[in-house]
Amino acid sequence: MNYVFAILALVTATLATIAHDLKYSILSMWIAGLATGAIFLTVDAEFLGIVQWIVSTLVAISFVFFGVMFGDFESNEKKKGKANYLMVSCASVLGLSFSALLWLAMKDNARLEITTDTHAFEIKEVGKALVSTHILSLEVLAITLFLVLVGCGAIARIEKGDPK
Amino acid sequence: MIIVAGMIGGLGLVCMLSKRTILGLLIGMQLLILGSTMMFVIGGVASDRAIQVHIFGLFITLGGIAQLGVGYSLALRLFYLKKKISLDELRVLRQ
Repeated sequence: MNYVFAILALVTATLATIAHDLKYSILSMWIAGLATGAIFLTVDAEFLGIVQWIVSTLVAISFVFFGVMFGDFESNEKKKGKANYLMVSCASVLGLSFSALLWLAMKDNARLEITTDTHAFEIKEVGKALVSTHILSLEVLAITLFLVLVGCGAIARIEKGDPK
Repeated sequence: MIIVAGMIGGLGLVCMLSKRTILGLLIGMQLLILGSTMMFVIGGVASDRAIQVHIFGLFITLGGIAQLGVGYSLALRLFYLKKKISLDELRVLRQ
């Protein structure tokens, strides 16, 4: 079953990459996120699957808000000329190289066939590990998110001398 | 399944390099983070480290949201200064 969701995620990620219209890119990205969450569900990572669904949906909604606000739904990214084809070709080669590199790095470290009955655990163990073994990581993440919140406000605020 | 995660990450990189607006760039970034999270989860679950996978997968996802927030604020700043979010003529964010 997870292969169906994997194909769906792959197809929609490709559509999000090649679509010129922002609407289709956002929709495809959202479906790719949902399919990835479904893959997480099929490999017994239910908590992450549900988090992925929620995050993907909120990210897609925020993209729609910002796209409407910037008027980007009316624009079209389609550009003509050899430079654009060269750019897309170079990006594709880089992307393929990146994919191959990731796969080569990971293929020896994990079994490719996943069996879901050997690593069953209760979700409360995640919470216990989060506040005991990984408490420092959690604190660093919390401080990072707080700094991001402050930094976003500082970046986006109007400064003296800005054009009106 | 791992090759699928790698391909999604690679597609995100292609999207980041080929799109010309900040929102397109952020969509590529989200795909890249999606691929890396998926690779982390698949590799970790297959290696019987399910709890660590949950925790660090959550951290990667939340880190992605932080990057998205910064990207939105940069887009807002750029839109305020230039009245557009195209990256073609972008050199500085201050006039």
